[in-house]
Amino acid sequence: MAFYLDNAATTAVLPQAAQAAMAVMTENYGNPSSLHEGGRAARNLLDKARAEIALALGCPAKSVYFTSGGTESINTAIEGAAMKNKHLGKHIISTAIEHDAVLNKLTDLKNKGFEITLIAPERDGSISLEKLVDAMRTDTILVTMQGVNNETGAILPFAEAAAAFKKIHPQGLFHLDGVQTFMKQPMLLKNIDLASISAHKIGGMKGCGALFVRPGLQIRPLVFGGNQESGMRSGTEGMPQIAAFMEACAYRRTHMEEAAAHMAALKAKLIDGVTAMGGVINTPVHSADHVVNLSMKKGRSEVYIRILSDRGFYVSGGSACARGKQSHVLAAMRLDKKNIDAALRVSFCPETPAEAVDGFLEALADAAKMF
Amino acid sequence: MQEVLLLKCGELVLKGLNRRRFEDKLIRTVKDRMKRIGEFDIWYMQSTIYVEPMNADVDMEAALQAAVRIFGINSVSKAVFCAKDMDEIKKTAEAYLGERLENTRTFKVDAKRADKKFPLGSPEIGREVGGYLAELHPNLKAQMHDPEVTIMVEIRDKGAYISWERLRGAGGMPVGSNGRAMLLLSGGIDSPVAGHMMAKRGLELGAVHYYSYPYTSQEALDKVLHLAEILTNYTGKLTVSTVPFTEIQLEIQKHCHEDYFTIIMRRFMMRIAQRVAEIQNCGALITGESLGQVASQTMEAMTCTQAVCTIPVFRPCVGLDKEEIVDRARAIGTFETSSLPYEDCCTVFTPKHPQTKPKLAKVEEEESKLDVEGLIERALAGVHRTTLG
Repeated sequence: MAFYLDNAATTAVLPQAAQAAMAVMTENYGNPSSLHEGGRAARNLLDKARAEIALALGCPAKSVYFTSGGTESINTAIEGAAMKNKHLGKHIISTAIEHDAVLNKLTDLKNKGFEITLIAPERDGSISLEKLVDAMRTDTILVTMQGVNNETGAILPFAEAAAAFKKIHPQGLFHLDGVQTFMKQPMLLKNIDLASISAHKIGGMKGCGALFVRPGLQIRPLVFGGNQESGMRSGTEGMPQIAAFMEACAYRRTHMEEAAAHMAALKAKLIDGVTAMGGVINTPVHSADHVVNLSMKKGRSEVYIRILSDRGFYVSGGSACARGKQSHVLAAMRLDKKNIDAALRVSFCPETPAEAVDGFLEALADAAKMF
Repeated sequence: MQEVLLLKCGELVLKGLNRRRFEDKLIRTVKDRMKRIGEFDIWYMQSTIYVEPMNADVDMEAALQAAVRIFGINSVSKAVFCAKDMDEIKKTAEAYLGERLENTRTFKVDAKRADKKFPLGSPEIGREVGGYLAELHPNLKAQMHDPEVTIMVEIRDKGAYISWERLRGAGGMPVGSNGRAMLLLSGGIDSPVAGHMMAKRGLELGAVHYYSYPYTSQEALDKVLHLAEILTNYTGKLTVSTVPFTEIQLEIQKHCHEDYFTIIMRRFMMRIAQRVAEIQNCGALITGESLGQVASQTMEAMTCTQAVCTIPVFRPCVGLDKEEIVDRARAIGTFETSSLPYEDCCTVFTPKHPQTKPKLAKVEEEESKLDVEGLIERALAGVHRTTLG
């Protein structure tokens, strides 16, 4: 049996979520745009799902738009915000540790004439609120940042940054990449204009996410067509995924506290174990419960990953989207090259059993002997 | 109008008494390669191999591409076939080439009368066909030196063949005509090029590859098999023997001085390759070494690695610059795959300061700390063979 410790990459679909998807695929498979009873049933389900996500986000249902996932939400938000505000200025602030979905979209905007400031992390992987605020100017039209970093688990000061930004520039827009934050850390949307979340990081299915757009704010969609999702995201809604997202969200929302406590205990145990065998923790102290980034003294990530995989423990190096590349997050933290090359990311879900950590530590100790 | 391919044989024409054997090898190779593409009737006559498709939906472009990769073939042309009758020949030439001649200004017709019973001589055939085409296409002007288009008319025993372009063939000698050799195939750029170069000299290849799981990945192994697959376009069937190498590397690292790690590792590779070569009936080893390219490819290092071999080691890249090797890799289609970023076993455990001028006596002394025979035996026991092509 294998222990899956790569939940920041993706998670198993929760059984109730899978069942909900199955029911949509085989029974309630209507198109929400159809006028007949089958369409109406689908539309009801869609409304229910939207209400559930809105409840979890703490926002009105009509502020939630379903998308194909985190990357699409992020692209829609950043492109839409930049285009909306381009008459006010060309300056955008983000951090150097964002996910590639954000960084590559910002490079795209840079090529279109926008000026991008990326705040470098501190050596421990945290982002300084002071540096963020210092970078804000009157021509700053957009600030986009993560709530939780996907590689280290660092919690970013997004709420404080958003509040400060609104004081400096009330018309500026703030986008939160909440993919690793949603249902894992508190994620209040105060002062936040746009937020992106993903279903498959919380027990839903791949190919589904949502974009929060603050009531009253209108941005230009990326995709045009049949005007589904109030025109924000055309294309027939991915109903099986949306139904699964709803179920996963409902379950996670009502079990957040015990999940957090469980994962915090796993994290503490893992950190103790790794430190005891001479490893280094690349995750800052102020960090989410579900991600630990560590480096052993010797060896290379990909070799560890293969050895651990053969022993039945699935972890990753940097982010799973960037296989084989050096982590830009750890590099921005100015870690030793040796640490970067050896870095492993262990990530939990609330269902991760405690013995997974014990077994992992044992396998890690054996793997370290192979260098 | 059914196109056929005419494959002109190269160097083997010179081979005196062995010629027949070489021709047989070559014909067998052509048959093998064409089998991958479709059904063909293939025969040999007057230093030319004829490749005629058995049905109309055969991909002749693919057949052409395969043909220009066959060693021992000097040139390849597409042609059409008709009866040995001047009227037929003229009409067929117009039907086959007329459209293409519309945009041509200068041309000539080269005729060759291999069937000496045909009533017209070569110059007359050329003149007649040329005159006929020039009349139909007023834009055409005959030009003997360096025309835009050269049309070839060949009168052979079976009939007449009319062709236009003649592509350069791969040259060299038929694969297998000079025996078998074992290629040390890494995931890099050089070794596939070396294999290609020696196959061109008529060697049939086997390949041996060393992998160090878990230090090297499954992807690295897949990459090597993919390289071998590309090589089969030139070599035909190719068996890759993958040898588990982790234990040997760990033992060297544990017992031998770091500076000698690479050279001792290379000696193990040569020893094992030679053993695999013996089992598979190969008379030589082939490596992608290029003089001075890395520490293990100095003259002194080659002395040390050569010392464990009793069969010749061919190093066709030895005098090539890296850029020349890269150009060849691009030309044979292996460069992109070779450039994929997976590590091979030569790049794990690399010493900081490898010996560039190792002394054989010192290398042997370091190596004596190991159970050389036991390690080789265990590695050989774990060999896995994959046949491609």
